[in-house]
Amino acid sequence: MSDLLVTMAKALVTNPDAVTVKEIDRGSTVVLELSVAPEDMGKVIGKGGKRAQAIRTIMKAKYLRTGKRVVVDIV
Amino acid sequence: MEKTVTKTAKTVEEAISLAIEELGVSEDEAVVEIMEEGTSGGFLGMGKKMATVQVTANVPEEEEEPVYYGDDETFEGDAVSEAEDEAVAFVAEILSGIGIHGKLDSYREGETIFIRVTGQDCGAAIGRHGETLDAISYLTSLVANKHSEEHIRVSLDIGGYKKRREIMLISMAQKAASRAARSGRPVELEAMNPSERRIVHSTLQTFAGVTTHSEGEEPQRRVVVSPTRGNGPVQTSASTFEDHADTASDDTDADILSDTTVIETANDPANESEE
Repeated sequence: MSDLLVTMAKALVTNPDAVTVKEIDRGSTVVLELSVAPEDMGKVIGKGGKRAQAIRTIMKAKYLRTGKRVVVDIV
Repeated sequence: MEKTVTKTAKTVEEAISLAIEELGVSEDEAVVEIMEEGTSGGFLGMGKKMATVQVTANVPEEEEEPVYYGDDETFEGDAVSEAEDEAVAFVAEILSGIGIHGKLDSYREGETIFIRVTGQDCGAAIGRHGETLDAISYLTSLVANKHSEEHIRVSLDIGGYKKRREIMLISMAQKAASRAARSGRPVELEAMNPSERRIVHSTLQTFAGVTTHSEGEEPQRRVVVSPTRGNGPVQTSASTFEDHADTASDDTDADILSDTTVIETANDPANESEE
């Protein structure tokens, strides 16, 4: 379920090999912990968190049908 | 995979270079067969003959599989630039990631890449007030510009949402402009994102008697349509006049009455002037 998050993150960063996502199932909520190379943090967060927000919006659309809530944490 | 192309040009050299360019190989990897030697012809180029060559080379298999998303729909590879290819592939990946089935077309006009997604059940990719569509659009423009020096704009539409919204915004803008021009008071529109505000601004740029500007902070930023003659302090006095319409209407009514001398309808003009 987290493939899409990996795809988006890889497309934005300069070091795609360092992109990993950890999926934590907490019943009604799925937590996706995205980690990228330290120098790429800004590439996935963006100015004022704009990129992170766009990523979250798209992930929410993905999880809409599952009835689960999705939380994307950038760690 | 062996591939052969035939090219015709003014000279043999030109034809060869065209052919190897198309094959994407270097000249020493290619086998060239000259079908027709070109001649420059005699006096004033009369009797000129074009050169034709046939070039065969071993070209690597296409690395990228055609991009599929959804079930079985594919889209035409009419992409002309690398940025466009990347943008389109990215959109396709996102849509298949969300679980949307549909067809994707793209074309490029100047610095803008237009990507259209059609298909049923696009709702999830559009989102409330188009917010998912905007998010996909935003990330796609980042991807398109990642390796590009000039700024490339991405115009993404899913299920015709943008088109419908644009038609609605234009009509909304025109209505607001007529109202502002008629009432002499500024009209504030609902909060919109930057691209939607741009549609409103450009629609009303040629609309006589009004100017537009935006007020507030994102995401609550909105367009205000102001009558030209009611700007600045004048605007205040105009609204003051409207606010005191009740007291001012006495005089107006008297004028109307004396002009029309229709006493029975005395109440009607009063109502009209208040509206």
